[in-house]
Amino acid sequence: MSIEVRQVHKQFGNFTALNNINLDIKAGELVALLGPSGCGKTTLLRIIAGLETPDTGSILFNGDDVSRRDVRKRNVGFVFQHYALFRHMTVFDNVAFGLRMKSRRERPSEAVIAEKVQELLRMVQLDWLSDRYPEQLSGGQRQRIALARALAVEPQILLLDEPFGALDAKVRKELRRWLANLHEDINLTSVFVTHDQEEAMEVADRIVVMNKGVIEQIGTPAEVYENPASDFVYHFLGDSNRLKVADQDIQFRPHEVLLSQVAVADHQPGIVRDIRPLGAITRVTLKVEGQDEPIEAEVPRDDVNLQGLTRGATLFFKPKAS
Amino acid sequence: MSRRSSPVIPGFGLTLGYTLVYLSLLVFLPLAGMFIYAAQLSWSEFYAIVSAPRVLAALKLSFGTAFIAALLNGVIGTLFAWVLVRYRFPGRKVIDAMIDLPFALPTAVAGIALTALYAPNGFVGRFAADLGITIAYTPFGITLALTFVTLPFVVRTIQPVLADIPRELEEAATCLGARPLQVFWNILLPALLPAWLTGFALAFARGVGEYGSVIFIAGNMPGKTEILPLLIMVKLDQYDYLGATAIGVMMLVVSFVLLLLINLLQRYVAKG
Amino acid sequence: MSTTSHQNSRNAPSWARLALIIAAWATFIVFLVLPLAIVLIEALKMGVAHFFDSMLEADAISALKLTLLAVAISVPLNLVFGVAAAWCVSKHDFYGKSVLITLIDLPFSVSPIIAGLVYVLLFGAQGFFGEWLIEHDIQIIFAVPGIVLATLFVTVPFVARELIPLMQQQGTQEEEAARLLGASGWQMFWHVTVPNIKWGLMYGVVLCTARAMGEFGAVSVVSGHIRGFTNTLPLHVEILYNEYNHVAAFSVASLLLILALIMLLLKQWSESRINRQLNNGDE
Repeated sequence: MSIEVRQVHKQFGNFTALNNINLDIKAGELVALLGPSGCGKTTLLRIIAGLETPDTGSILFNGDDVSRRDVRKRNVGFVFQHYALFRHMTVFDNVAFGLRMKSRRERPSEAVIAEKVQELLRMVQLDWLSDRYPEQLSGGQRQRIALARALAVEPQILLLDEPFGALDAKVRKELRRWLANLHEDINLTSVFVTHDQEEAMEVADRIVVMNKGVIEQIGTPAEVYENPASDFVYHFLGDSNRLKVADQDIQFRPHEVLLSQVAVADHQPGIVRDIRPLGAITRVTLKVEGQDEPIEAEVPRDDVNLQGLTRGATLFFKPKAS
Repeated sequence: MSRRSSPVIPGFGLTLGYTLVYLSLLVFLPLAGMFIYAAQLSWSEFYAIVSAPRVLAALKLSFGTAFIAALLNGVIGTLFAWVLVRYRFPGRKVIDAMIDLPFALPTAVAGIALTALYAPNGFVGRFAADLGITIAYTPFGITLALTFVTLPFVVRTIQPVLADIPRELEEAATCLGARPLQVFWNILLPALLPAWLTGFALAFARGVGEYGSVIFIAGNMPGKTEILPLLIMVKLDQYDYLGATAIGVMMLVVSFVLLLLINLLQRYVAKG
Repeated sequence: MSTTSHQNSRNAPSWARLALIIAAWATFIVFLVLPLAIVLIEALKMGVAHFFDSMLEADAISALKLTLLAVAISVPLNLVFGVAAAWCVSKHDFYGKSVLITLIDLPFSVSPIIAGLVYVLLFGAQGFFGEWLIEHDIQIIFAVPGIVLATLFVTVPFVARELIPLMQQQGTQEEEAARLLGASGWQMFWHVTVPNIKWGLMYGVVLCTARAMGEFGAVSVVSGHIRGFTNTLPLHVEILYNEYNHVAAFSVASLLLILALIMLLLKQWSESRINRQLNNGDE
C-alpha cells in the first residue's frame, strides 16, 4: 500500500507545524521521519493515521483519498511511544482487542482469534507472556506487545511514533535491529518517527529529514549522509567540524581526518587539548590558532599517530578529501 | 466554544450538551432565579433588609466564627498533615482514615454530639464550667462546632503537597547549614502556602454556610447567637420570602468576594 | 485524597517529633473520637432494648425509607452526570473549560440553606411556579419531590470532582489506541475507559451517597417536617432531639453514624485501589 501526502498544511494558532508537505512512500518501504523536537514529524504521522486532520491537503492510500475517512476505517496499525497498552487487560486480551471489536459479520470465532494471537505473540517471541498484565512487563516487552496488537488487525500500513524513545539505550539498539528484521519478513509499508539519526540510518530504507515543518531532504541513508542537501541535514546527521583555511570554509566529520605527528604538506597544526579513549576509537580534541571552536578528530585506538601523544603536544591534521 | 481536540475521541457534543443542560436546569437556573426574585426589591429596600441590626449581627457571627474556625483548622490541619506524612507511629492509619469523618458524618449527628459534649452538663462542658467558661450556646461553641466540621479541608489539601515536596530540597538546605526550624520556615512553609490558603478558603466557605452542626449548639438567640443560615430559615417560616432572598443574595455576594480575594492572594503567593 | 508517604523526617529532634505526635493524638481524641463516643454512649443510656426500639419505630422507618429514596434517585443521576462532565472536560480541549469546571463545583460552595431556598423560590406557594403548581395540584415543596431535588442539588459535584483529575491523568492514548484498532465509541468507552476509572467511580459514589444520606440544611428548608411523610433520617433526629427525647435521637443518630463509618471504610478501600492503579500503570 503506497502513501501519498499532498500539500498537507497544519497550523496551531500562529505556529505552523507542517508547511505544505509533499511526500511519496512506496509500497513495502520502511521510511523514517527524522528531525528535532517540534519539526512536525509526529504531527505528520498522526495526520496519516487520521488522529489529526490537516488544514489543507490530502492523504492518499494506493491512490484513494482517505483524508475524510474516519480513523477506524483507515486500517492503519499505530504504535505509540508510551505503548498505550490497555492496563487492565492481559497481554492476550490486548492483542486480541482489535479482532474482538470487529462487527458481527467480520469477527472471527474465538478459536480463530486465539490462534492468531498466539501466532503474533510467537512472532514477537513473547508467547510465554500471554497471561501477564502490562505492568508486569519490561519496557521492551511492552513495545513488542504493542506492535503485535497493531499487527493483529492486518493493517496495510504500520505507523510508529518514536517507538523506542522510552527505552534504555541497550534495549533500544536491540529492538531497532529486531524491527528492521521484522520488516524484512512482513514487508509492510511502514513509517516511523524518530529524532535519533543513528536509529534512522540503521533501520530505514529512506529517510525524510524534517525541520520546522518543512522537508529538508529525502533519500537513502547513504544519500543523506554523503550528499546532504543543506547545512541543517549535514549537522543533524552527525558530528561535524568546521575549519577556515585561507578564505575556504571546510566542513568535515571527526573520522574524516588524517593525522601526523610531524609537519607534512597540507596539514594544519593544532595543540592537543584532550585525548579520550572511547572503546574502539579515540577522540583527540585540538585547539587550532585563529579558530574559536576546537577540532575533534576520531581515529582507531591503535592509530600510529597516537603513540606517545600527550596533552600540549602539537599534532598535524588534514581533512580527507570530500 | 471552539474545539482543538483530536477527532478520534467521540462524544464531545453529547457530553457537553448533557452537562450544560443538566447543570442549567438543576443549578444555574435556580440560582439565577434567586437573583431575579431579589430584583423585585429596589436598592433601598434591599439595603434596608440587609442592614437591619439582627441581620448584621448574624452576618458578623457567621463570618467571624467561620474565619476563626478556618484559622484554627489551619493550625490543626497543618499539624495533622505534618505528622501523618512525615512520621510513622502507632495508629497513624487510623487517624488518617478518620480525618474524613466530619466529611462523611451527617451534620445533624455532629450537631447533637457536639452539643452533648460541650453543654454545661456535658463531658467536656462540665470541666469548662468549673473553670467558669461556657462553651455551648455561645459563639465559642459555634466556633468549635465549625472547627470539627471543616477539619478535613486543610489537612487534605496540604497532605499531597507536603508529600510531594522533593526530599532533595531539604537535604540541600541542610547541607548548606540550615537548622530544622529554618528549613521548615524557609523551604517548606512557602511551598505549602498556596495549598494552605486553598484549604483555608474551602474551610471558610463551608463554615459560613454551615447549618446542621451549628444550630444545636448555637443557642440561636437573635442578635447574639443566631447564624445567618438560620435567619434565612426564620424568615422563610414567616413567609417573608423577599427578606430571606435578600439575605441569601447578600450572603452569596459577600462569600464570593471574600473567596475571590483569597484566590488572588493565593495566586500572588504562588508566583512569588 | 489522603496520601501515605513514608518519609521519616531525620531533621527534627526526637523530642519535637514526640511532642507533635502526642499533640496530634490528643487533638484527634478530643475532636474526632469524643463526638463519636458520645453518640453511642447517649444512645445506650437507657439500655440496648430502647436503642433498637427507637430505630424500629414507625416514624423512624419511614424516615429511613425517604432517605433511601433520595439516595436512590440522586446518586445514579449524579453518577451519569459526573461521567458525562468528566468525559467532556478531560478528553477534549475547548475554550471555557476551566470556567465549566469551576461552575460544576458551585453546589459545593453554596450554603445548603440557599440550596433549599432556591427551590422554595421556584416551587413554593409564593414562588415562580407556585400558582401553576397549585392549579395542577402538584406539590413539590413540603413534599417528597422537593426533598429529592434539594438532595440532588447538593450532591451534583461529587462524582465529577473525583473523575475529572483521574481521567485527566490517564490521558487519551488508550482510547486513541482502541479507536485505531477499530472500536466504536461505546466499545471504546466500555472496554477501555470504564475499567480504568472504576475505582474513581466507586470513590465518587461513596462520597455522593454519604452526603445524600446526611444532608440536613437543604432538606430542612424544603421539607414540611411532617412526621412519617416528609422527614429524612437527619430531620427525624432533629425532631426527636427538640422533643427532649434525647436517647431516641442519639439512637437514630448512631444508625447514621454507623452508616458513615461504613462509607469511610469503602472510601479508604477505593482510594487505596486508585493509588495502586496510578502507581503501577505508568513507568
